[in-house]
Amino acid sequence: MTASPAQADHALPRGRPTTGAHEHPGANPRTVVRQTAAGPPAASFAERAVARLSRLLGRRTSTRRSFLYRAAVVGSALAVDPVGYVLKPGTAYGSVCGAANTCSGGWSVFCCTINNGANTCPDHSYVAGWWKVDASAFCLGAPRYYIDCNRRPNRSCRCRCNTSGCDRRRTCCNVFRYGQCNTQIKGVTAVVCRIVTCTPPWEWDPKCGRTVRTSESTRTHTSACLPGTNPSRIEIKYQDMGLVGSVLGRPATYEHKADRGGRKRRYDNGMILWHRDHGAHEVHGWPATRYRRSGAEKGPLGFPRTDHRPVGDRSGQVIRFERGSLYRRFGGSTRMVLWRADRRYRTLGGPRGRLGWPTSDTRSTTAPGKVTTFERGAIYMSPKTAAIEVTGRIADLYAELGGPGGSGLGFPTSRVRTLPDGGRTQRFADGLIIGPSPRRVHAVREPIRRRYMGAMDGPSGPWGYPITDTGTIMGKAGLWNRFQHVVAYWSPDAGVHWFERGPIYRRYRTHGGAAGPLGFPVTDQHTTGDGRQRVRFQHGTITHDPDTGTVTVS
Amino acid sequence: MKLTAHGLAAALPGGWEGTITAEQAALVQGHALSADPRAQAPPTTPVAQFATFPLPASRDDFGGEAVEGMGPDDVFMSLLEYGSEEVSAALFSDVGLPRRLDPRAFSPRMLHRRIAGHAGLQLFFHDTGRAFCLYVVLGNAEDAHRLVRRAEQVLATVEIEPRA
Repeated sequence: MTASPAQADHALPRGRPTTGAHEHPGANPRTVVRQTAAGPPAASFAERAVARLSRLLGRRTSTRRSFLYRAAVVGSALAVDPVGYVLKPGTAYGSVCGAANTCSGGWSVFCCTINNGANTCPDHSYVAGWWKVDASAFCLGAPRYYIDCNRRPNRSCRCRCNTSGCDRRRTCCNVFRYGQCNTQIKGVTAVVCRIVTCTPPWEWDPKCGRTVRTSESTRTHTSACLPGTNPSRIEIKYQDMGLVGSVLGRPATYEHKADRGGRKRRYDNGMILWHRDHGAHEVHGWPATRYRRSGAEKGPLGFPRTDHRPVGDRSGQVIRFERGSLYRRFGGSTRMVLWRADRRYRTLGGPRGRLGWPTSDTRSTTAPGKVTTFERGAIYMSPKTAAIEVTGRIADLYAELGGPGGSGLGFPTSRVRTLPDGGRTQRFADGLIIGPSPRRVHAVREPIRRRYMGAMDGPSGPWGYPITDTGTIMGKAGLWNRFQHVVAYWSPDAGVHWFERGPIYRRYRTHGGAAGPLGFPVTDQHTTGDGRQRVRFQHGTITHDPDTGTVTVS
Repeated sequence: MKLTAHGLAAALPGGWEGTITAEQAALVQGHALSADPRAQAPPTTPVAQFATFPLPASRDDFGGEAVEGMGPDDVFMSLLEYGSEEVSAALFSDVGLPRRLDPRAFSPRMLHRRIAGHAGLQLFFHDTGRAFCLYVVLGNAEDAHRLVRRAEQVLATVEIEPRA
């Protein structure tokens, strides 16, 4: 998840806050004295000026503005609340900015009005508390939350009225605190301005508590820089992120239709997309560029299902989509992990799991299927096999042998299994990789694997572990594998047969092995009636007499 | 008249009325747009309000429109509890419900919403393991000494029970 606007923009001062102190009522805001020593509630020059301005503005309506400005406000009123503006008595200002929008109304101004359009706390303020209005038309019937930004204890600000636009409320005047946020800061300072969100404050900023306060009086309060009533989900999302003060920056397009009934809008530094199944979510920065290049919601990822979320140790971020995720390690590339590979990766713990960060996008392999590589392994999948990880030396060997297309092993069909003797084995569609330890493994392809793991009981049987990978025979259709105690051969005509790595094998090799005149073995090594060892080949026989040590080829 | 609810009690002198309520069933709606599906409803916390004028049925936690009609002799007080996790926070570090108020501490600026003629005071504290804010509005800033004594009459009767 991305940092909330409060986290990103309104970090609190590192210094120890002033303790046990309150503002001297009516004094210069920088003057801080003990509450018990506070003077009488005398009005300062600023207070008197504000009061005078309040009276002046309180009498003023839009009818006293210039024609053009009045026309603009009326236009806004008609756009924001056409029925209310036409049918109800009141001013255009009231229709756009709600009730008590003048300085004399006594309320605090909205932050976006005085903060260059940003729905965030100005630098000299911090999030101090919040209240809500239930069933708000500004939040599609959900509660609307108003979050006060109060002056930081070590900063100053002058009490004044905003004098432009229709939100002409007060800033830095009301010394008041709702008190649910940043309660590590003692004391009460002036409210600089108010933020609005449709997201509960305790989710919007973890430094806000959940004690609910309500103020029905503020139901209609708003500003021309905020979305109007019945906003789109994208407008709400952008508002809650901070409008132009968010990581997205300013809007670059109008909101428009997206694929499959969705909606989207682009901004200077990203986009927000909405789909009824997933809600509105934002993508910004490099992931946004990567997402757009892959086709955005029409591409393999589909619509976003989350915002940016920090990964465990905050070394990067992840955004989940309908059919995959984008992962970005800070200082690294953005990687796209798709479909079942992403599900499996997340099951394994994602970037903090045993595979580490992705080092490639999910991409096609030479055989029909996909691979995604990671710092410590890879996940393979095919139309016929699940998404399965291959890690450690097995992953290295599999890749060296050519992976799904070149190794002859096909795609992995099971995860690594530890054998009773501590060995490791992993099955593939056309073989297995096996060894006595994680670092010493070899490949055994079908059909030698079937004989090895079936009738011959695998590594605990007479063959032992393989000591080579399955090899091919130059110029012939066939395979061979050397094991700890035997050598096994396979040919389409003769099937799989084996013999010990002894005199018969040595003689066979001097005759060129399977590529030589004897061809492939057609029997296993066996003992004859007179006690000799014998193997029959396609074009001959090798016999070994253990009593005399003689080896004959016939 | 003695009010008792939610671990708070007050014996109101003549001319005062009050309520003690707890927030608030409609909160669950608050999660309609919440990004976190595991979000739970916020805890309920009591709000006690005392006034020397008729309190409307619907009013804000800090008075809202209810204080607009205050006369120059009127006093409004709201005692609001916060989540118990706040007891140790710096904001609530002062100890004990203030029974005596300094009239000089009241200011026209220390109001939830500035209303001409009014003066206010807001104090955060903890008492018997519970975190509170006391908010007092005087109908006439120029008459703070007399109105503060009226507020103190009620504060002297307020009892806060330890959180169960």
